[in-house]
Amino acid sequence: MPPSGPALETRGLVAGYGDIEIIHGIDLSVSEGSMVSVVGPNGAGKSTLLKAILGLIKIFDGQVLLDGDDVTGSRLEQLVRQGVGYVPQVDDVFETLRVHENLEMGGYLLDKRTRAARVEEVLELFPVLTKHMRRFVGTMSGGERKMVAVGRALMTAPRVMVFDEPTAGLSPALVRSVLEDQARALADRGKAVLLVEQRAHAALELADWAYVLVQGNVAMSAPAADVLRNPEMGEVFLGGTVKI
Amino acid sequence: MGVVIQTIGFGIAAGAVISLGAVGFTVQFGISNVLNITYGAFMTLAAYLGYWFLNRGVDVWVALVVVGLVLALVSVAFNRALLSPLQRRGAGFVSVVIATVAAGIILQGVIVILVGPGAITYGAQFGRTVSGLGFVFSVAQLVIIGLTLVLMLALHLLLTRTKIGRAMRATSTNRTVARACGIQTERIIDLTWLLTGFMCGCTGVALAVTTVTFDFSLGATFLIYMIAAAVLGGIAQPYGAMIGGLVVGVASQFGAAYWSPAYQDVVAFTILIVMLLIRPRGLFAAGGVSRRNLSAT
Amino acid sequence: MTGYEYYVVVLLVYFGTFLIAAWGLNLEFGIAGVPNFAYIVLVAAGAYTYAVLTLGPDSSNGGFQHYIYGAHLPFVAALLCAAAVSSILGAIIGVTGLKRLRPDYQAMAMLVVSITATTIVVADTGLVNGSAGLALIPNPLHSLQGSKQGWGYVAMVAGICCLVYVVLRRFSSGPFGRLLRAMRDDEDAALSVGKNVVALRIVVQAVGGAMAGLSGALLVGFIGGWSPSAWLFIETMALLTAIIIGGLGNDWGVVIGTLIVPTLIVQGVQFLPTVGNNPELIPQLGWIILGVLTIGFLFFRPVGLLPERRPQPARRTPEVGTPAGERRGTAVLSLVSSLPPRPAPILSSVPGDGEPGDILSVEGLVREFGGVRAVDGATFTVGRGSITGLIGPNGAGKSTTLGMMSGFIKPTAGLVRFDGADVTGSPAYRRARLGLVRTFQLSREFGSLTALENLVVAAPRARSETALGIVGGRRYWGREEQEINDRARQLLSLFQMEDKAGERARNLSGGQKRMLEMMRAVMTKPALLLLDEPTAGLSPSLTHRLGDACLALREEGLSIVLVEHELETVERLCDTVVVMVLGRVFAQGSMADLRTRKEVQEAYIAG
Repeated sequence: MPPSGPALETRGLVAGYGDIEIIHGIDLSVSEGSMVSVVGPNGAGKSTLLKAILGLIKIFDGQVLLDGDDVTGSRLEQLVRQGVGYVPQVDDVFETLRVHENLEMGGYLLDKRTRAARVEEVLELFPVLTKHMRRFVGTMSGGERKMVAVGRALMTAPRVMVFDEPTAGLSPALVRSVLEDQARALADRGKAVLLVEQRAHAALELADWAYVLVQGNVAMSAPAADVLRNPEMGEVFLGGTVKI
Repeated sequence: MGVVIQTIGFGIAAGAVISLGAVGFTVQFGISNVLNITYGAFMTLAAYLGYWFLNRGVDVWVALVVVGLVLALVSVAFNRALLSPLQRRGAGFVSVVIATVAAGIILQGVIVILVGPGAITYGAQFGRTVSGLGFVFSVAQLVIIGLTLVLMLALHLLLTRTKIGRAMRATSTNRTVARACGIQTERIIDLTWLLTGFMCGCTGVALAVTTVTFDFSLGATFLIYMIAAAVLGGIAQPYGAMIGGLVVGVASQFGAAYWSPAYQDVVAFTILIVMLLIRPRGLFAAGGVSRRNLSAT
Repeated sequence: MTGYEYYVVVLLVYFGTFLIAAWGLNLEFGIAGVPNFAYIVLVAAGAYTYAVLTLGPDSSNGGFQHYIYGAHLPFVAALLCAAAVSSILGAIIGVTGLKRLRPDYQAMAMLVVSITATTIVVADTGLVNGSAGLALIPNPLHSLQGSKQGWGYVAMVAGICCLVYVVLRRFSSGPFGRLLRAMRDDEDAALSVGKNVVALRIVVQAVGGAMAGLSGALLVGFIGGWSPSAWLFIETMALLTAIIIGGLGNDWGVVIGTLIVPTLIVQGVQFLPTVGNNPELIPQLGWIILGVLTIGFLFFRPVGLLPERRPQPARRTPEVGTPAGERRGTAVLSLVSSLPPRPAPILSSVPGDGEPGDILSVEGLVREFGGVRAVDGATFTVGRGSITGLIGPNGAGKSTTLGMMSGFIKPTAGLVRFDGADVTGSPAYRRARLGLVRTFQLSREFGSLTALENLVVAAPRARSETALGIVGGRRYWGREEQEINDRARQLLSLFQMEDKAGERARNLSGGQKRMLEMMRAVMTKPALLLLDEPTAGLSPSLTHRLGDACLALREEGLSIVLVEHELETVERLCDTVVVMVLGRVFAQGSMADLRTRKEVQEAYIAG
């Protein structure tokens, strides 16, 4: 493993549903300790990109590399075994199970002792959960639920964390805290964080690097702060050129 | 009083077989999310396979286990070849049910062509009778009751105490998140069909033993009893299905004893229809898996 | 009659009678989405009814068969009675099958009903002679001889088929067919635009049942006997296969499917000579082919030979000719104000339009889910002609409250008043008809309908949905339909989606679906719109466009309740804001007002 190479990388990734190509050759890389955000208008192919990386849909062409190893077409459960953590968009927890069961399920691959230790680590990160351990996740508020989802993904101590629109359906007060306390904090702890986000502004303020996706292509790849200041950004999101 | 006791005895014996089948059916549905009507035809297939072994001098209980194993493999193959691909192609719930009905029709047709429509029998496999507490059971009935209890206990331990059981629960609750936990959900689904297929096979042979004579409609008829048991117990609830099986077994025996043997089926089916009307999620559904699986949207 | 001729006659009669049944089942399952796996029971009921009404009293045939009642009714009367009995039975099944369960579970329940019916008829020999069944049922053409009788029957069945087709099309095509398809695609969405789904289901099952009864009576009048082995569950499968092969929801596809499956394959093979020495081979082969065809089509061509088609709207230039930018606002105005005045009591019962007052109030609303209070005594009012924001942290009970306001969730306690009237107990569709219309958090479009149809189907009190509309046909509703179409088109162009008019809704993008849902709600001519997070998942530009639409609608006097997370949007649009926390109303006031209040800040806005 090259020490400075990207933890997760795609080269010319082409993917879609059925016969329909949605993303047309995406190059992307995420290094450890950094937070990379993919932004773009509706239907730009952001979720498709994530699903292709995670082996949830068929890849037509291109490569996915994890720590330099080719993992193109690997299924999600294999990627998890190789150090990827994934937090799906809204349906992100075992609703009918309790909090502790969710976390334990997250540690499915671990032995009992490591699992118990990991639960402690997750609770250190999200102390609020400590008093809710026996609650059913389905009855919890959106923010707490997201903590369970992220905590569950952290159980395997992944090196790469992938978030699919972590703030979807959350109230504004939580948007900031989810992005800052969960995504950003994980990057600061040395993980490679890849995040797809609809709320571009909030995500770009915290991310290190940004990819702007438009109609299945990377329209811009630059430090997040530059993207934020770029007047064309407003064009992409607000202008009339981009069809819904 | 003696008649009551004996009717309960018959009911327990009948209920044990129904429970066995119902538990398999309900677990199959709960974890793989398919209402598999072919289950009935598979039980018929098992009964005829048992007959084939019996005619070659194999002991009936050995045949039961062997047929169970065969059906386990057949079930996995069936799901992999037909149902999983169909689901992947985006077929709706009703389409999948129709496909399982069609598969059942094909299988039943092949069986009739091969062995004819007439009834056959395993011969008397009951062994001597054992009595106690006013009950009279044949050895065969006791073996079947015992077998049901053992399989139930094994399934219970598997689901609650083992890593695989946890993975099965996770898979049934949310397949994508289960995969994100590193669970190989496809293998879990295979395993589910393997286990429930085994139970299906054992049930088919056990049915043949207890019904004395049977024909190609054996599985389809008893599938309704098992659906009744599963619905009564709250679909996708193995323990509910077991209790449901006993209730259906006892109730139908009372119907036969006190009304008319012709109404034996009517009693069981009426229980089912009443349940579907007033409490379609079953008596023991406490939310959980079943609620998620059955809501209309 | 020669053997060959007899063979053709029998097949033609079977084809015609099966076709009527298959059309009926297609109406129920293919078009309206009701998985009636007990359909063959309705066919059987028709056959038995016809039999006992033509056989004469039980005692008149030497006592070799037993059945209830018995009369010597003329053919047409018996035929109509058969249709009526099956129709009523179908409607009863329609009423009882209302538990909201997953469709495969409903199908299984119906399968059980079918088998139970067989079991009961077999067990109770006094009813219709048990498993032996009824025989010597008179042929209505018994006065004709030989091939005249056969071909006469064929001609009669053909005539009845034509008649049935004409009646069927009144339900399966045009605006009513569109309505049924909308219900099939999404029941909740249909409720939300004021469609009485329960009544529709009953109508469909009654019509489908009548067709089943007719089919059974015609069949039994020809073959002269009827027993439980003729109506096993498997016969429903034969009809289902015919529909699947022909094309779900396509009446002409069903004709082809019926010709292929129940007629040629299942019945046809019975006439083939026995091959080898296995008497079971030929009849079973029919069923096996049927099963293989079913699975094959589900796999490789689930839409069938003739897929269901949707009308492609002719491209027409909308009447409003101004560029998109300038059109905003004014066009919405012209849209709503061009509507006929709302009939009493909605507007006439309140003091003059535009005057202050509350259009809706909720008092002490409570909703418990398994012991947990999602909403715990919410009380607030919604001002007429205002946009009211409903905000609060996740789990505060906003969506549940909205569900109770719109009638989708039953409150555990409390009152909902709309326009001064207590609507707490009235079902969702009735509230929608009063003008209280909701949208959903996850968009719920009628996927198989085109975008234009999605809007047109939502028009309230359409003539085409009434009994008169069914009878009167296009002459009765044609002009109104044209007006509704024009209105829908204007709405589409207002939202800059006119180019998507002919696109099936399921093929639209997420943002377009949201817009479509909003337009669909507007089509119902609401007085109060309840929008559940309409901007969730929308890009900023679309969010802005949606906001413009809200403001324009308010200009016309529409009241709006908006569940929303984006405070920017709330700030821009809302006159009043209700803050909910832990199932209770925490504060109510203008946004500027709330910003100054410290406890609100802490509870929600600042986090």
